[in-house]
Amino acid sequence: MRDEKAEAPGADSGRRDPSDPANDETDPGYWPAMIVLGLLFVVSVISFVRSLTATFGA
Amino acid sequence: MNLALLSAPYDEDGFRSCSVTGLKLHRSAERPVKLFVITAVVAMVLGGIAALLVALTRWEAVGLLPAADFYKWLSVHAWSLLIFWMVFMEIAILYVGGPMVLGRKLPAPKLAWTGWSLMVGSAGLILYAVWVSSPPNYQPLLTSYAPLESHPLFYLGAILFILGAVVAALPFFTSIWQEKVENPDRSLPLVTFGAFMTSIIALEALLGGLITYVPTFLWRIGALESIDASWYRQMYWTIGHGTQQINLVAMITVWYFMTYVAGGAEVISEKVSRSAFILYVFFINLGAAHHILADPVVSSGWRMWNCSYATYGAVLASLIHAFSIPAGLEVGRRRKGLGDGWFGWLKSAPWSDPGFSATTFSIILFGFMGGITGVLMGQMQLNTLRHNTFAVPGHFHGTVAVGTTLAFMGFAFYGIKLLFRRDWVAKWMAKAQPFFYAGAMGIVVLAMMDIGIIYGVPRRHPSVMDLPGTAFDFSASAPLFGVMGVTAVLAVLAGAAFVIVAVGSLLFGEETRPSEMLPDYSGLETVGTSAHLTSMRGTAALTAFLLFVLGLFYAVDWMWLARLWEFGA
Repeated sequence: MRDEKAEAPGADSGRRDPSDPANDETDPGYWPAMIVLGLLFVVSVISFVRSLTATFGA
Repeated sequence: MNLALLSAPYDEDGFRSCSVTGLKLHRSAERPVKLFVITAVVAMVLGGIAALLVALTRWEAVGLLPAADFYKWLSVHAWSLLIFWMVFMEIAILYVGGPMVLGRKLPAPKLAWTGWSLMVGSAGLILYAVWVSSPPNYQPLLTSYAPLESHPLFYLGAILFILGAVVAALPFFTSIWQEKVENPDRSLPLVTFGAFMTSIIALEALLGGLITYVPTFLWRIGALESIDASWYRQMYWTIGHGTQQINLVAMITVWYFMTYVAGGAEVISEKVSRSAFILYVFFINLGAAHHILADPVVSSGWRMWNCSYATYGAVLASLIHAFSIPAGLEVGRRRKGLGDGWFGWLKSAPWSDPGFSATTFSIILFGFMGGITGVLMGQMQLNTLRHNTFAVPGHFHGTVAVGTTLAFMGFAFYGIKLLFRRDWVAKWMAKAQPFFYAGAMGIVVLAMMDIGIIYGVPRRHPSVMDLPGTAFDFSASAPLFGVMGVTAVLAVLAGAAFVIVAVGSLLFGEETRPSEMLPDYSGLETVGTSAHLTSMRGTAALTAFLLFVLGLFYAVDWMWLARLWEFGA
């Protein structure tokens, strides 16, 4: 029930001015943040694969 | 220090209104907050220098310090960052969450100054004891396990520091009591409630610390004939891990505060968030039991209760916060019209603001690094995989060095503007600092975890590549130690950037109005649907990923545990 309301047109927020793209502007710091998080994600995946390789590769 | 920093334009009653938060701030609360924050940053500088020396020693290709000096600097590192940096900041957070959020004077401000003096003096005593320690005295590190004897002044310093923290916390408790007496029907604001729960957990930990250190001090000066090592270990961990639980709950309180102030968040359910804090009061300190799972004196029932059932209670609380805080951010921003689609609320968020970026990195990285590894290590069975390996410092650097420190850095960035009313100097450095610190320290944590999990390297020995008289060979882990060493140096540099911005802003920052420098959400009306009817699909997707990763690591750890039996095959 809640999801139906949330997905209904205009129910997504009561936002200030839905037609104003300035309200949905991507912050200049967003992509650098995604790069940092992406880097850590890649290192984590490498780390995880290495740990599995160490287990099954022996 | 510029003493003018401790003043502000107060009215005749000593109050002023913050133009960003709308809070009524009284000078009796604001001045000690500034002093505690400045002291915390000084401790951070010392701990950061020690961190550099410790990292460059464990990176054995450098091998900077001989063993004796390594343990000395490791003790300085542990006490400066795990205790002094954290506890001074936490007292400041109590004063912000209590009297400042409630718009009250700080009761008995002399107690705040007395507590601060006691804490600073005893911190100096602890560091002095560490500095002059030589055989037969052992370096205490953080644990000072009896019956290994450390310098008597170390135990005295620890006792006085705990007493100082209790004294400094008394004005906070009094302000809560006054508020409830004067307004018995009014609920405490969530941030105040979080700070209050933090203080209860802190009190438990600090009392445990007194019960631990007073007899140990008496034993050390010869007033007691002996001390039971098992008793010491069990009692010590009430404060040893309890202080870290204070960090956790204080950090979560800061998350609620900073996502509201910097990101325009709302609280989607006060009752649910408060219930999660109460779960912490009952269960979080019991998680400390995993430190003595290998000790022979505790029963199986005791182990199972603390490291299974009680842990589930604490994890449930963490999972509630893990959803409610980003959901509050998503709902708050959607209702203000700041972003659309699945993640527009996140894309439009003020990542260029170091207060916001530090807080958000703290939330994300704590969840995936410190949180997940903490859940795994808090389990009785899975703990055996990592106990006393290098993965343990990997875990607590994920919680404290990444999670709590980034949250406190974000809090301090805002403190510079809201309390000291100074603009940040070197804005590019202020903006970049959380990104570099989060990236570098995140890789340090991952390297430490791998060194411990894959190679089983012990956590405390300064040199493991060539252990005489053993068959252990950890040389395969050398490249990972290199990764850890390089990124640790970068993380220390990023920490130094924080100190440069913080100290530089206090000394040379332009005095200005906070409302001209920080995001202002007060003009954005939240019209339309209620918070509960607003879409949280972005948060649902992100937290589903967190649960997936938790489940994946849980399953893999159990697989590894099952394979341990093959050693005996």
